Amino acid sequence: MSSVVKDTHHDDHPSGIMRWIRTTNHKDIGTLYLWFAMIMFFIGGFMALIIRSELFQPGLQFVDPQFFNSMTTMHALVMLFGVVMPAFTGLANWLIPMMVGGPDMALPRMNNWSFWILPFAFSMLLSTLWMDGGAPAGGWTLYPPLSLQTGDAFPFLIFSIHFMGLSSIMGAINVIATILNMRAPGMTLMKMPLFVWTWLITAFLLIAVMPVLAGGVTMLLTDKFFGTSFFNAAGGGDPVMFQHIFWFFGHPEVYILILPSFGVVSSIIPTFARKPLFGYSSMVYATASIAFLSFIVWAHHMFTVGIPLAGELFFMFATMLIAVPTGVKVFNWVTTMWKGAMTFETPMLFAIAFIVMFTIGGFSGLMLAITPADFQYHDTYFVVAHFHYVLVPGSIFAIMAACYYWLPKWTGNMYPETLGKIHFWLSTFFVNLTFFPMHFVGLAGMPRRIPDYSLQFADYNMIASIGAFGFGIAQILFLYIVIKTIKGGKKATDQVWDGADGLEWTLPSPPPYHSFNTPPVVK
Amino acid sequence: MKDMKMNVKTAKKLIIVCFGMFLFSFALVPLYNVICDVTGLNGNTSNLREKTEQHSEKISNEKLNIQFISNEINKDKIDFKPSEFEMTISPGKVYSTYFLVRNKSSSIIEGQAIPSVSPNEASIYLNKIKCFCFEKQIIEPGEVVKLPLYFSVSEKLPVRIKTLTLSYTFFDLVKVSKKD
Repeated sequence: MSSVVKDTHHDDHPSGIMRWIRTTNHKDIGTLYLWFAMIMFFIGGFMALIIRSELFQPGLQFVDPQFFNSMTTMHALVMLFGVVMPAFTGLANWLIPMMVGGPDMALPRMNNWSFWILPFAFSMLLSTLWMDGGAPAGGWTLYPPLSLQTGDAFPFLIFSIHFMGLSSIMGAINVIATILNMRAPGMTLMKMPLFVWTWLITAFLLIAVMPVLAGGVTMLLTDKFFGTSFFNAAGGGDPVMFQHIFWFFGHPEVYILILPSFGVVSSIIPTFARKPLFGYSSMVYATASIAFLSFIVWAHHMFTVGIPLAGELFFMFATMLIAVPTGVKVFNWVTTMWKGAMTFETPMLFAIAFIVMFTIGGFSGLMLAITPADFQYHDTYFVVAHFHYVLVPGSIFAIMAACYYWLPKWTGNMYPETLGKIHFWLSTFFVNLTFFPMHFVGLAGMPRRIPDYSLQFADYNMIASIGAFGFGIAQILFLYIVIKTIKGGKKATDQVWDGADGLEWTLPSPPPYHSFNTPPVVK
Repeated sequence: MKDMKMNVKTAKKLIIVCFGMFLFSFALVPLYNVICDVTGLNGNTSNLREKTEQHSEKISNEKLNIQFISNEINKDKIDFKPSEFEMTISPGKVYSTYFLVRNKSSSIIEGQAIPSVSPNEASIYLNKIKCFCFEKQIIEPGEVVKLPLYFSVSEKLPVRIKTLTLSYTFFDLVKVSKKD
């Protein structure tokens, strides 16, 4: 490889606000993404607390039902598109160039653009809260005809989704180009860290399905304003078709939200077990099979709309098949820890909690996959419990584990270990207090997205609300720890963790503004 | 720089894939309609008109119930009701019934009824020989129109199905075309 190092590549960078607006540096953009996700995390969390306040007791207390439905809709959109996806893209920006030994992302200017679209998209989405007719309240799945009854907010909702899609497609193109073209000599595909592998597969999923979502919401837009009848039965369309299009995007989307966390956990577990990852190649193949299967299971979200028996059986068995590669992954993580010299620093605690609680979420997913049982569970709190178990102690815990794990590398300072552990135990306790009772009320028949409930659900809902406030407050501690670590603390060594393995640990802590200008040689 | 050229090349390929997937989402629309017509999904029975003539069914002794349901999109302008809500029928035999539609408004209504059969899997066994749903209806203000329906149910209907529901939704076509 004959990469010519230009003279302009030195450690100087513009200071002040223009540094951040004009930056094309992967580390700066990674930081921007992560802070954006942090801000959105508190906004989305605040919406969740409005929901939980209303559900603290039966009856209507604080908000009117329309606003309650806006909160469930906006909470989902903010948390999925504003927190989990940008946080993972931020991690990808920071880590992928350092992990594969490249100088930066492949297309730095596009990288800048793909981040700066996001604040505009979300200002547009959040501005709908003050519009006539209120914010979107038909659920994040936007099913017509209900979503078409949204007031002035509707076109803003659609365009903000277009922008979010554009941003993540550009991010994905950048990730793929970086991984395929910018690897250091000797870094073959099967030597890449698993975080890089899982992101490569995630990026392909993004490119395959985000345009489908864009197409689906464009059809909604033309149905509402241009007299088309894609989903309007009166004009020969079919509202059920939207559900098929949406979930053809939606199921791969849920793996977009979880696959990078598999990569994070696969990096952390070997470090603190002080053993190489068990079954590296089976991990790669398992991730690829999960991605493939995600395209042929979408209708399990809509068992109750009326699908022929053969279709329901196909989607049931295809869904259950996903448990096999996922089981391979969980087995490999547990086997990596087996007889390892384990220590339990904060990143490891979050990673272990991820394995346990993600598996709980996986099991409730298997229960939902059983078609006849799903007719009972459909649209109940059991579904809410299921996807919050895979997303909060799943994706969010993995993101937090990643922050604790790489923060010393990024900032050069160790985070305060005791505070980190307190944050972990508070989060774990309260996340279970919030979401575990939802299984019970769901099985007993409490429907989702309703601001009121019958009296027999009162106790568990009160417990869940207390848990939600506890979890929310615990995250302020997380914010404090991150700021404190950036400002100072015990200096971190270059290696940071004695069991850590990978190119990013060969760089100084914090790494120079431009790293690997001369590519390292991987044996 | 050689690297940059390669990156741009990769990006271009991926952008083409994106456009392809965007177009694919629109291709799903005709694809979905074809699949529904072939399988009778969503109670879609529109393709069955031609088939009915060539069927010569054996009349079976089995009895089953067929229920009629009516919906109207614009309730303050239109009254739409079946003349009888339920019939006991034998598979293979041709029956007739009618629906009544009344224009309560002061303007002419141009409308059409769209059928749907439940359970879905029964839709391919229900043959409509003559149905008001095949064509548009024009109803003068205050007029009451009798809408005839001739149908038979194939004796190939799975025996576990004892009740069929045929539902019609009456759509106001003027309103739809006026929208743009």
